[in-house]
Amino acid sequence: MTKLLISDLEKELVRAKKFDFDVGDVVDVHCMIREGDKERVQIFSGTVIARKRGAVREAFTVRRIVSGEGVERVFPMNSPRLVDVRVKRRGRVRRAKLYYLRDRVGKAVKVKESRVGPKAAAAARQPETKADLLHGEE
Amino acid sequence: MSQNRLPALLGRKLGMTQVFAENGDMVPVTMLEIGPCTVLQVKTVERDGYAAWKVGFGTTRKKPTKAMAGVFAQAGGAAARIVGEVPPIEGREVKAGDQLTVAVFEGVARINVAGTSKGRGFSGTIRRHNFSSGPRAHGSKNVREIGSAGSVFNARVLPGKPMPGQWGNCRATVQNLGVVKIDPARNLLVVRGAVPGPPGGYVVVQESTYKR
Repeated sequence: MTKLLISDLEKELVRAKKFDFDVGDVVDVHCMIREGDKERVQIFSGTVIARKRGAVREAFTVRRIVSGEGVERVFPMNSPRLVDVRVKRRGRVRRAKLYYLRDRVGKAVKVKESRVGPKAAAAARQPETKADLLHGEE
Repeated sequence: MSQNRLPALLGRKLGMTQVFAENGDMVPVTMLEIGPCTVLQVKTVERDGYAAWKVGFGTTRKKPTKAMAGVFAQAGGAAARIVGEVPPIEGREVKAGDQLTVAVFEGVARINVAGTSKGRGFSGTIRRHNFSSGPRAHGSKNVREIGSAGSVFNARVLPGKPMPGQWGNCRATVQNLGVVKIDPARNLLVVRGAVPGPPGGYVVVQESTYKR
């Protein structure tokens, strides 16, 4: 019998369908909300400023400006109420948490756009370094 | 020992995580590895004065004492990491060597979990009993003191007076935790809320007498 580990058990609870987005992206979050006994999908759009990893405990924070006031919502990645996350614009960022956006107003809030997605960008970087490593070993 | 006569079993705390209920609510849960527990000895009223099952959980490389080695030998040999007594489950016959799994809690809605709480050493009253600290300025010297120990009338300190001392590393029971999931195939018991002790700590789980 294999040893039961909390880290393995947590992985089983992660949602099957992954959303392809990263910190800095401007996204539409489709979230199921309940109004009385009716359910409908509400969309919250804004910039992803943080993504906190941890298997089933993963969560991300979306920030937007609503009538001059900064609003942030934290979404649990594996909540069944989270229906979809659609990327409207890819952002090019140099850090994992964009908390500095909280101190900014107006134009400065904008994150630079990136032409490629996070996966494509990572793929473009990866083969190069791997090849270099191989050459070093030979 | 058990607090009531309802089914109980030994196990290990795996750790905490969260799961989502069907309606989407997030539920904080503790995962427990419960059983399989080997029945080591069946105590009867006729021979021992009370009825109980002596059970063992886990494995150990430690050499048991000769007395315990005899008990383990009757149940098949392997030494258990922890040994405890649980009340017999009504309508179920067991003999030494039988295995009890988490399936005994099938259909149970609420349980109690007893474990050894995390040790915090010798702690003062501010941390241990939630006292307030005294003023730090104006020549005050009772910054973290306990303050008054009671009235002069009694001419003594009343028993139970909260004072500094060893905190934690003692048996603690959390009652009436909701059962979220039972997985007998993997000896897994998922309960709502927190359980005493660190991940990997040994626990005793028992059906709760609360009915809700």
